[in-house]
Amino acid sequence: MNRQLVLLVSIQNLELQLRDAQDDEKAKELEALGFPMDADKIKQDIDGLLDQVEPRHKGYYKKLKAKYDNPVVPVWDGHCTGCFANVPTSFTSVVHENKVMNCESCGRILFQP
Amino acid sequence: MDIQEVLQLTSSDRFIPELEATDKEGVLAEMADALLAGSPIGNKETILEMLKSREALGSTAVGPDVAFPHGRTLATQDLIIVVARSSKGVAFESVDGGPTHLFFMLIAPPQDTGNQYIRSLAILTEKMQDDAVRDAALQADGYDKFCQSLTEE
Repeated sequence: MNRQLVLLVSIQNLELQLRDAQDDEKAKELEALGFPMDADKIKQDIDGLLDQVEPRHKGYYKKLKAKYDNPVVPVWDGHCTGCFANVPTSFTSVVHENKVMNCESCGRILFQP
Repeated sequence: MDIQEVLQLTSSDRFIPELEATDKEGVLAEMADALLAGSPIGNKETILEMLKSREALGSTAVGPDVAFPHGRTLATQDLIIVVARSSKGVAFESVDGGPTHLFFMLIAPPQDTGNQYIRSLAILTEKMQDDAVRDAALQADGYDKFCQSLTEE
């Protein structure tokens, strides 16, 4: 997978972790089990990864983030899982070409899980 | 949710009776390979990045001898558990400083109905607090006996 896309997916995975860290009930449950949750550290990690994203992708990601909770989404069964629009069959070849692709319908950044 | 339901989230294909890896990074990579085998997930790199980020918050080796590397990822639609053992033990930055011999890797989707992810973690961590259950799980010969060791009262 394209390194830029790995970074964008990893940022989005950290956003999921941040969501749990900011959910009082879930954070307390995890901490009670011995797994520390530190929202500030996760935010720092997100910023650290964002710094490694190329400016053109970073700008587009931030624009999407302002609009959607999930600016990066997987393609399952030929559909964008953000808006459920069909993804053209050419997506597979784009993946092989190691490029970053957006959903033609909603603009979200797509990846093959 | 009970231990039987938790065990339905893993399988014999996702059970590594004896890890080859001898360090933390190697353990995560070997378990990620088992996760990817036969699953729709094809990208190991993002899974490893996610697990390493979680470990950076604090080691998941919280139980005596046991670690629970875990996290949510966009790359799965279902909660998946991979189990692995190391008879020699691996330095996993455990809370008690000792080597880790048993690993439960939980890979959770962005949303999970009924909070399965945290409940599974809770059930497994509680089970592993029991010395007899943990010893039986470490010594069980094969996947079926391993499951039996966790479900027997």
